[in-house]
Amino acid sequence: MTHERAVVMTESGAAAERWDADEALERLYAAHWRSLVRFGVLLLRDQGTAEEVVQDAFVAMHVRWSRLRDPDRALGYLRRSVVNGARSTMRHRGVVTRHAATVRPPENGQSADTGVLAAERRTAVLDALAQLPGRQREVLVCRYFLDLSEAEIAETLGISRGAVKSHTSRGSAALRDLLADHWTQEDPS
Amino acid sequence: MNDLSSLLHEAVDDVEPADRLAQIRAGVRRQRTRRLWTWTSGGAVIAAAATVAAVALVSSPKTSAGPEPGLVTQPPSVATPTPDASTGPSPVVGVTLPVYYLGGPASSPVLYREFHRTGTSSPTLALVALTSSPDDPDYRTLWPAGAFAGADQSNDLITVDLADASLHDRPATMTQAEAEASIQQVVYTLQANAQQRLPVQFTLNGNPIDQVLGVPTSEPLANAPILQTLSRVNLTTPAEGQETTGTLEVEGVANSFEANVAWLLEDSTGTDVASGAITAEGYMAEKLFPFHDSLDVSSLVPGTYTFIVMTDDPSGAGNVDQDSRTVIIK
Repeated sequence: MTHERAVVMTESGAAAERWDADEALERLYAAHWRSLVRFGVLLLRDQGTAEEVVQDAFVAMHVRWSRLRDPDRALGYLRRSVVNGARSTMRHRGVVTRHAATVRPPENGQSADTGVLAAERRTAVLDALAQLPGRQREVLVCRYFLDLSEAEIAETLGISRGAVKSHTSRGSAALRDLLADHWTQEDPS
Repeated sequence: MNDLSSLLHEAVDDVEPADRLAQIRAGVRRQRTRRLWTWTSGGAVIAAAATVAAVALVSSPKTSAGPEPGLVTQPPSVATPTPDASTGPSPVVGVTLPVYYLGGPASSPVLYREFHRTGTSSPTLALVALTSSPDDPDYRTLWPAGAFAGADQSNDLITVDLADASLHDRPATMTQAEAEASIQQVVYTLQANAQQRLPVQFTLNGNPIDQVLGVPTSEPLANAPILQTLSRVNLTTPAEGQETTGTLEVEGVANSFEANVAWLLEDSTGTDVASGAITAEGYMAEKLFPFHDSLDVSSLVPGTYTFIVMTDDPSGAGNVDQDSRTVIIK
């Protein structure tokens, strides 16, 4: 049994269906915890809150594993939960954070080679995302960070594909303005 | 458009989240308890639990000494040859002393009862027990050693004499709720030892003191309402660190919705290895009702486990009382 499971670890499929919820939780946590928290940081700008939201998503996924029975569907479920958790957190924050522009983004560890410029750019990107309307931010992060297709984004965010299109174009235009300095620096093409 | 992609990745590529797998597992456990309740209200599990509980209804001498509802002073039935509580209020040798301790958050502590073995019983001994450490590390007492000069019991009053005036005001480290619970800790412990709901008068040098820990005490105090003061579930057996083979005997008192007491057994990694529910003898009264069960643990790997019992919360708001014990399965 054990070696069978090890072989299948790579992908969705028959053997994953045999995972119990605890095993699914462990495997999906190992594979996606970090990237989902990063996803959450892009949506929420705050690492601690992002960790809480993703933590809740994993708990909810465990409960539903018997119906998901597939790592890919579980990952989709996790993303939707993170988006929903981020949305309700943002609603909760309301006006408070809109004015709390002084909140620092996550500290960057080693600055020696990445340099001050990169650190500034990180802050600028997180600041700019935070200034976008919620749907635009979500769409851009799904598209450019998670690399999701239009259909996947529509499903993750619970909006139509048309809305994905329009939010994407408006969002990238707005972000382009907000990040004018860094954008041109980074985009020689 | 690669640039936007790399900007977003760069913005978070130094984010290294803390490991929260343990918290996630704890969250799963809470969810599981909630689901457990969903099933039990469905009926299937409750029937099964009732069957097991019926089997487990072994010798549990009803205490005849508790003259009022809720005054449960019945010692654990596993506590071997002590005189039974029903034989009288003042056994001569080898008694089981009920002592209450604080548990739960500082903002809303509840009292838990432990049974301590002592040579003899007296109000003063009960006070000494109350200032010493509980057996269960989840409990606590905020009374310092030597806080009390002694206690006396007459036909209609218990008096508690403080050692000095240092506990007149509430210490800054203690919440208001903890101060009130600590006063009730004394009232409940002394009433349990007296096996009567006598009022309790705090004194200093023999004279009533106007307040203790900042709580008004100029008049004799009655016990506060049981369900607002005590944990709604309290294990008597197993004792903390108890060793067992084959069967885990479970005993306690509870007041839980529809008399359902959920239990979980966790291994040392915090993983659930078994769960179920026990039906208490009732729930519709201002008191705690006994529950018993014998759980078959013979299939479990020997090791250290945590046994947890919880009250039901049909609202789903997570408003549950719980109690737990470390048990060693051999």
